[in-house]
Amino acid sequence: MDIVIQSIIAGLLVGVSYAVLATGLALIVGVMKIINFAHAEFAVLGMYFPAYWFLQWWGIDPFISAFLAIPIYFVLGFILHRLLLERLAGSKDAENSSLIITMGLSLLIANLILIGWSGAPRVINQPYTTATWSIGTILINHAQTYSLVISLVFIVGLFLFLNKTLTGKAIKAAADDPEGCAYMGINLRFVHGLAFAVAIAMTGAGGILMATYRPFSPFFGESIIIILFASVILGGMTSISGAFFGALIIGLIQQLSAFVLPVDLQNVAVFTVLVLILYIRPEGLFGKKGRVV
Amino acid sequence: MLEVKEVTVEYNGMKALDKISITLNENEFVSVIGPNGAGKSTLLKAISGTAKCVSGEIRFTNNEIGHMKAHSRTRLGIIHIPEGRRVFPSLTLVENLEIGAYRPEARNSMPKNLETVMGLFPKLAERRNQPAGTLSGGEQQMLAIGRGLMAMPSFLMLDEPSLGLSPVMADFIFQTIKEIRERLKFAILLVEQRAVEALEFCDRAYVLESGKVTLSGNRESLYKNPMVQKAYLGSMGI
Amino acid sequence: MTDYPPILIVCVACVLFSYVLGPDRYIQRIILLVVIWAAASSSFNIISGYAGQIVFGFMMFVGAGAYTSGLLFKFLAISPWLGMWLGAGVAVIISLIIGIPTLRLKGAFFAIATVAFPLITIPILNHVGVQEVSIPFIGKGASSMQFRDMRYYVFIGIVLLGIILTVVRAIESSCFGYRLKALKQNETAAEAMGINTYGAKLMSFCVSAGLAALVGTLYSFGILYVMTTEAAFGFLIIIRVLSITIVGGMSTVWGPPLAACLLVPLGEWLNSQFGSRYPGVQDVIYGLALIIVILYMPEGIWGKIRRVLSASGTAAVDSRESVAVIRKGDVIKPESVQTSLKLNPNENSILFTESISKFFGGVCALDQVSLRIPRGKITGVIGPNGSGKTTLFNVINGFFPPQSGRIIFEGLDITNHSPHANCKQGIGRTFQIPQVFSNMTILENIITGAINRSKNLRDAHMAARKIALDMGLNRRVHEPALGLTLWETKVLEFSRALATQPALLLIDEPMAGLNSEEADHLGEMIKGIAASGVTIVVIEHNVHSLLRIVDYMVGLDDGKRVAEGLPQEVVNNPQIIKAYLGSRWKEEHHAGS
Repeated sequence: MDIVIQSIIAGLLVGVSYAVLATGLALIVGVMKIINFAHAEFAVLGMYFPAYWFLQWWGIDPFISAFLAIPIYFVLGFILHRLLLERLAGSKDAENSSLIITMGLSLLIANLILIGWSGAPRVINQPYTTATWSIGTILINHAQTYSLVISLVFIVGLFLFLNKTLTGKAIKAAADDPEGCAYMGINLRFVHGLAFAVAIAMTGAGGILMATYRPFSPFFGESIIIILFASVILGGMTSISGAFFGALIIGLIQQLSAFVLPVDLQNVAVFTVLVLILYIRPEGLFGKKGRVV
Repeated sequence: MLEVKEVTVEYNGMKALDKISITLNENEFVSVIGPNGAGKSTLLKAISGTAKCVSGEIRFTNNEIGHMKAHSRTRLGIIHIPEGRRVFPSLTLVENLEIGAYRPEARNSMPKNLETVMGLFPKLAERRNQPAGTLSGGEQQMLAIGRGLMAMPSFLMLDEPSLGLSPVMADFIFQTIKEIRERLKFAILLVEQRAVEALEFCDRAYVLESGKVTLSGNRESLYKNPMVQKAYLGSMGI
Repeated sequence: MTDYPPILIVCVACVLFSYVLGPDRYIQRIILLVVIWAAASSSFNIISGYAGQIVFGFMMFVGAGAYTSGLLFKFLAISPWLGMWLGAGVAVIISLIIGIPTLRLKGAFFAIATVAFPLITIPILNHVGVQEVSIPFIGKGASSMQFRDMRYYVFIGIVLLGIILTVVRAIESSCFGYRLKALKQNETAAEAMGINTYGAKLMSFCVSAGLAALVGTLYSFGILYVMTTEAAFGFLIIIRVLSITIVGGMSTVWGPPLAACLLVPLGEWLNSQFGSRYPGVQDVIYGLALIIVILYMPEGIWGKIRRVLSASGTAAVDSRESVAVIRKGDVIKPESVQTSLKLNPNENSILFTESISKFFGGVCALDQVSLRIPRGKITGVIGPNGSGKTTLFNVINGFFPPQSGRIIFEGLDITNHSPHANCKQGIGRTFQIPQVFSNMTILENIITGAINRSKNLRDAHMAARKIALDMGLNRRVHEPALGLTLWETKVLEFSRALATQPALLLIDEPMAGLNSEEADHLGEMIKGIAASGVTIVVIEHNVHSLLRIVDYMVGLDDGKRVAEGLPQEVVNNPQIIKAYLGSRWKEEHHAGS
């Protein structure tokens, strides 16, 4: 029984860390209808810069870097949107073009990381990385717990931003009806850039949180991008709260699959679930039917 | 206040508006009527900036605004309530109203204006936290108008507010527009399919056909004009 | 027929080129890589370029070919010459497994689904123990596809490339290619013209998969020697293939091979020069190339070359002159256009709708509408905005299934049929906003409608030319459909719809945007079409012009049928008058009289 509880806790912990990234992805897909294949790469980039770099050079704790990453990646996201993605808005071939551009971007980022830091897996070695609390026979890792708390702070922050501020509501409006925004005086271009920037900021910071308790390498993104898409699709593609719950479910599936599958096939379970969702219910658990065709 | 001079708008290769000119004075209520496809909606879009003019000039309080982007024109107080209601379906009723006050000039008065709008449309107050997509057609239209008011317009444009509404609902909407007009003084440009209602409250009116103004004049003269009938049914032979 | 010799010539030239360079392994290996990536990219091009469905998980099929033939050879001593076809079979089956459920969904879902499969396959294969499979060198030479001299592999590769390029060219210039081109541009219009978009996409996917698997076999025997799941199913493959196809030019025959000749040697050179100090520099270049090409040259290098060459060839035509020609000179003879099927000439009505209702979310667009459309006549449909007219057409056409009710066409229940099936039955459609295929010429647009009814492309071509002649577009058939005037666009839409030989033609607001002279001219055209036996239903707001041509009329308001019968009756129907003019009108106007 304890093993089950341990797995459930592990599943929730990893699920929340995916959720930080998945909610950002759902924001981008929902507002701009852009399928950001490079999403995971921003998380990985964050692990190297600022987390690893700042730790190596100035001894700055990664949890602090996570907060520093927010403004850095916000600006980066805004600039990238202006430079690359903005012109796709409203164009006829936007979906395919955005797939390809973001694929190219993911290549670029992953390999620049490879050049900059080599392919050897890195580890953050702080005291909390391996320390655990024990409740009975259940072990809970320090770093994962801190990450959990901070992740929830980020997610709640996003939620508050979108639902309690006027700018956030403007972003939601842009997701609902991009052309209708002009009538309200909403500058669509700016709002899109803002949404992208917020999403990338969350992703960069979220990646750093992940890095505090697991090793990372330049091509780590390849394996988690599909997990992120699975979470987002499960949650209904454009729903942010859906992506949150989708990520939790995916995290649980990943960890609990260890009971039926060998450990190296953990992700296979997740990807199989993704395929099944696409076959049976592509609008996800929380989405509206008819949005996908 | 508003001067549209020889404006041409092209759409899919056709001239939706063909060198059109209209004017509107402060606090005036002007209606635009005409058959479907005449370009009435396009005229409003040209003024609000949501459709591009190929040629011509638009002047608002003597300033040329033709080059301005749509979202910037709202800052001048030009508010366009588009046809088909167009509320944001996943935002709640209240959130829709709040978005209406997005333009910086209207933000400070948002709480007070919310009260006013709820007072005008008591039905909306009942459903304040419902997603706007679940409201009925009539409620959505009330919301759209209320949302336009939240922006504190100096010049309000309404595009076919009675579209798709039951006659009772349509009447209510027109009554409300009349009330609003009496309470808050601002200029109104109304586009409507239903000629009689459109002509009932206005000071002046234009008849648009195939992108051109074919008739204009004050309320009295248009009301009695047999050409107005033609404008609607293309002389169906009544 | 003139398209294929260049492929042969280029292949022969490449073989000679390779032979002449001698057996140096390093050089031949690079040539082989160029050929393999060119072949893989060309097969990728079929589904992702021509059909427009990006397959990010393309490595699944290359790997399927590689592993099937490799494992069969190692463990069952089956010759790769047989193994490659078995591998292709496996790949086709996999493509069906992936494609059948997901090709109905939006492109992004399909792309993501395709990536999931290799990601599932790699860990499973690793787990089963075949993460690394070395292909034993039996030294039997040709029969086991194992040669010491790399030039043999290059030869096989070039033959394979030649086959794939031939397939691509055959697709490009066939009816199938037309269908793909049409659906890539405008799926709605393609369906309305009788193209089975789902089926066409699925077919392209299977063909791509099978061809990719053949390349996979050559890849594992000629390059890898030691197969790893990473090399056979890894992201490296899609990176190469995607970059080469995009840079070279999607939907072109020569684009991918050209780009392969450029990018592969470049990549190898970069790797050898900088690979040790800057590993991954190759992929940085590929990534940049993808971004830059999509942003600034989306048609690719070869696409741009093709465009430049063809633009210099055609002379500009003064469109004003041609419009005058259409109006005055060429007489439009739509009466002579053939129609199909007269299935039940005894039955008075060609189409019935029985109480159809259609909801969108909570909004009722059609409320238990029952109509009969009289055979051989022109029926007008009028009603204010939002009354459900276009929705009615969309439901009859098959774009939306109704929530309740039935639609009977020529005695057949077509309620849930797809638009392309309805088109084949004889229902044609023109749209409110003209949906011409702007990337095609006028003639090609009409051909798209004609292939539905023709055995092959040549027949379709001839049928299209005849229609173009009858409709007055004859002199301009090779002009692009983009940039036509509104009138010309409408004539083109009509021509294309007529090419599908409809028995029933649904025309949606044809006179929108036309002045009264043009509107009447169009009315004449519609009468001419009806004279050749086509039943017509036309939605129109210009009631004045409509009254000149209709025999029968239906009036809708608020999703309900409120009037049906002879035109004068419907037009004088008080509810119709009220709906258009407003509730007070009748009071005001009849109070006085």
